[in-house]
Amino acid sequence: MKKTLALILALAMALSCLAACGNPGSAGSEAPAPGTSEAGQNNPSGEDNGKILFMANLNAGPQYDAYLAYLDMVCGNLGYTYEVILGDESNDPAGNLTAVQNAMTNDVVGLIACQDGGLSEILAEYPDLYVAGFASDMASVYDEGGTNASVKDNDHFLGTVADQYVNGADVGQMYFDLVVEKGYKKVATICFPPFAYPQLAVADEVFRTLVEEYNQTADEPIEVVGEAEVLMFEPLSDAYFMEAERQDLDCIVAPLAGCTFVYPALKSAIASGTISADTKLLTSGFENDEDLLADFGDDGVITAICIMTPESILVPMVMLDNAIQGKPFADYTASEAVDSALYIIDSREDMDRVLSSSLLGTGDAANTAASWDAIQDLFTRNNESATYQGLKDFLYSDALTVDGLA
Amino acid sequence: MKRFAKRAVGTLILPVVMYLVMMALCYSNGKMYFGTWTMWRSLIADIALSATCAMGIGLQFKNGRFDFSGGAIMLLAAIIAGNVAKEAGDSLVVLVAVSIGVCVACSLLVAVVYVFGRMPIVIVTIGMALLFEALTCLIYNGGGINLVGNSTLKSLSSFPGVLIPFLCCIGVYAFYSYLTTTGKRASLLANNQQAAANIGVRESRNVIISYVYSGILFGLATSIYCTTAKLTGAFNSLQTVTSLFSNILPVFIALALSVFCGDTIGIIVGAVALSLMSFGLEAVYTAEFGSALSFILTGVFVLLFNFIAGQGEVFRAIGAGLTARFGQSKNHAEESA
Amino acid sequence: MEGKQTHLAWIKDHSANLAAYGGVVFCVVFFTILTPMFGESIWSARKLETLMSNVIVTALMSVGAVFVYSLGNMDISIGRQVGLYATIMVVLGNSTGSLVVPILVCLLLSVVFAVINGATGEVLHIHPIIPSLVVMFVLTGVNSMLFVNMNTRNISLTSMGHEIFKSPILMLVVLVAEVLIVSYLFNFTKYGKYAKAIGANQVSAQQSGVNLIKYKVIAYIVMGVCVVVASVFQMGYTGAAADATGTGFEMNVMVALILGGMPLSGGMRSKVSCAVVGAFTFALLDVGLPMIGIAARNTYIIKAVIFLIVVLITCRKKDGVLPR
Repeated sequence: MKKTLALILALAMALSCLAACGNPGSAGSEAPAPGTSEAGQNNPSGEDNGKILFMANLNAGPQYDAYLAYLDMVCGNLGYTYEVILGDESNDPAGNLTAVQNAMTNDVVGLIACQDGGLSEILAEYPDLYVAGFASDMASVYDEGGTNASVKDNDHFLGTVADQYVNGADVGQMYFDLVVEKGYKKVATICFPPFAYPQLAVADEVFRTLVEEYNQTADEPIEVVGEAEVLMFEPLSDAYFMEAERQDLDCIVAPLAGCTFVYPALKSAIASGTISADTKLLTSGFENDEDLLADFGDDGVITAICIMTPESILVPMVMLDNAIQGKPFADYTASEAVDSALYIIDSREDMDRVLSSSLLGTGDAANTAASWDAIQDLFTRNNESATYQGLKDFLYSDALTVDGLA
Repeated sequence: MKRFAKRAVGTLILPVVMYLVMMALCYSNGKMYFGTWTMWRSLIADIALSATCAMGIGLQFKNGRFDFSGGAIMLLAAIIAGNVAKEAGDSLVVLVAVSIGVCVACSLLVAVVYVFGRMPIVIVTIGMALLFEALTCLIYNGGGINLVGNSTLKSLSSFPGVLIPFLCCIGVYAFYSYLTTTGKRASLLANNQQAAANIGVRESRNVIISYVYSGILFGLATSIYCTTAKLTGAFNSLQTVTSLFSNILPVFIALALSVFCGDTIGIIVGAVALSLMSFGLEAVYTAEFGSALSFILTGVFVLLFNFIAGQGEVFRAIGAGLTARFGQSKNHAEESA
Repeated sequence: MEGKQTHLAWIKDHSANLAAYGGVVFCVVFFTILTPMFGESIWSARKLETLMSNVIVTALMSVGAVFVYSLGNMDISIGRQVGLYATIMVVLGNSTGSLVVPILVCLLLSVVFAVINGATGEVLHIHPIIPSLVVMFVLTGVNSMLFVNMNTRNISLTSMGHEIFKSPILMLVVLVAEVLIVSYLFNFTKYGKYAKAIGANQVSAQQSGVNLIKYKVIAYIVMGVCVVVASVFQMGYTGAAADATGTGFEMNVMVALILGGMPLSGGMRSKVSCAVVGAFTFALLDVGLPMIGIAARNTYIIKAVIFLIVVLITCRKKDGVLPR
């Protein structure tokens, strides 16, 4: 019996070897579906410029699929392979460092990090590694006294693209504009704890200040009910809607992943008749779940979604490639956190366009507004006169907004 | 009558005291909705989920088997059942059937590995939890399932639809415990494994059948669980085991209350008490401190409860002393009269 | 012929141990042969450092946990303790400029938790897992409150350097020293012998004159000290602590011990080597599988299958009633 089991062990180990025997770079292999493959397969350039590690903060979903599809395209044309590594779920520095260490091989030349925990340790451990941030404002790097402040001046750290806006004040302004545009008069706000997401607290404060200024001249003032409800990374409790003052809200402003954290409780409260059936949700985050999408629009519960355009991952790729090739932008002087391109989806028509003709909605790089033809001259390897300002201009152009979709 | 009253008091004292304490706390903080029908509608769904999970865990726990794989089984079943039910046109029947089917299949697998592997149950269930969690990362691209917006399928996780799986779960648990030979033999095995085996109880068969029942219970719990929140693959090893330690609390309470009301009602009472406490604390305290305080108070409550429940002999001695003393006083009074 | 039979009998008697060691030996051989084919050997200096950093915290905790597991108990508050100790070390380290005071504070706290975990079950007549469940809940709340009060999710050691804690040599020296000390205590002193006796048969041990509460508390204290040492390396490797530091560590310890062949019911078959063997096996898989091109999400299923196969070999009971 034990011999048989020992043989099974040997077979299991041998099979794991066979599982690894698919050559990631082999030409003619079927392009993997986004999310199933975690190493770039297509390599039309035929070059081998090394491997990029992508420490994602997501494991699945339409955004994740979109990132991978775009990386497939870009890395393939640049001659890189890439590998998705799973950072620490709670952004623990040791967990992130371990994830990078375990994935590090001789051919790794760059890291796209969606979390800032342990960045200084990663750069200290691998001083030749180029690192660019993505979908994170890297507050620990850019805030005064931040735990990774030493990284800011490291020439191997190439800045970051925030998830939407770097400055919470811009987030507050965006949601205020949406509330006014939609004509909501009684609103409540929800955010994550300030100690974890300080910019959300700034956004809430700015939102309330703008409302106060608006109310001074408005015929119908906007009422912001109570203080901002803080969610400790748990979904909103049903008790929230049992307060009398929240039972006839026009909308809830939740600049976080509202579809996951707010929508379930809101939907339950509406279904049970606890609150008005006309209560709407303005939030961030994108889900391609059919039921959620059916509930989007002025007739649904979710009336606006603000989300980073996934093509924003182009920025860390350009910065990394320039640095790896030894050809930085002439006008790039220091790393910084920049806003991302943004989809503000505030109508059914917008959502339909996103679903049918965008990278985010289809997960297909053929639908990207930032195709290889459009972006190849942003890389200094292809265009010596490419500039950092030019990259930012492209990032903030209409092409990467909902208006730019077919 | 006296005996019934004693049992009723013993059973109800915990949830009633908890209700009163939380009501006082909420009312003193202006949360007047505590105790309203709106609160109960929401709470019943939480109680149902907590109790059904606890029954699935408790069925094995009271038989001496600490099962770490329940959370992973439920997560895997929820992802499969949710996706299949959606593809079948949001069919509730398919959701429930596939939930129960997958849970029973996974539980059977655990039982088979336990019986034929002849390894300690903790080791088997940890290994199977690792395996099931790994599968959740692979199926459907690790994307899990999100049914929170599906009002059809969500009917089983909100009042009154949640009562269906809840009552079915109670029925199955009580049926197994009191009306099946397997359940009674399982009690024999739990009390003295060797003696039960010596008198002819076939332990292997008993274990496999009991895991079928716990699979059914987990399946019913899954039909509630899969629509309460967005579920994704378990990308951190043994993360589902953490939820086990929260869901097992009603089982500990049930074990203490079983002398009054049996473990079936004990689990429900435990789930009610803990849900009331959780609701009250969330309503009163701000999110940051509320969450932290909730953890601390839950821990202290569990310790105090188990301490009090463990002092049965002390209370009996006090009771006997009081009876003797008042009995003497009464006799003296009668003699004087 | 007789010699061969003796060897076979020895192998038969020690098959469980061989299987446990076989797991780590097989991993070593397997990755030694395969990883160079993918560009880098697992025994390169860099990967050895990664391996040590991966294994050190789990190994240090697991070595101490052998004492508690030999009682037939398990402690599910270890992870939360690590989080708390790391936080205290950073906060007090920054305010005092040295790690001596915070380590002493952590040692004192570990004794307090040891008394709670070890004595409460006996004194209050409650299931032994309840006290550690309570400590886990309480420490989760306390840790959360600390970080909310500090208005941040992670804190770093700024008053002193921590590069020394990254040294694989130091890690190895500390691990070896801890293994030797704990092995000595476990195998050659009454603390270990009584712990095993309690795990084997608590009633017999008590009736033989063993003070259950005293020796249980001592077992938890030994584990507590090891957890503090592990926390030093957990904090020191990045010089930081976060509100989620330590999450799930108790399960890592349990898996490492099981993989190393530790009987969860405790007793005489408990061995300190189980901790090291199991911790290294999983660390080798964590480091080696990505090197041979296994995608991150596929490593879980491989580790689960290997875990099941190893425990099937090491933990299988031959006959009698089913093990609990």
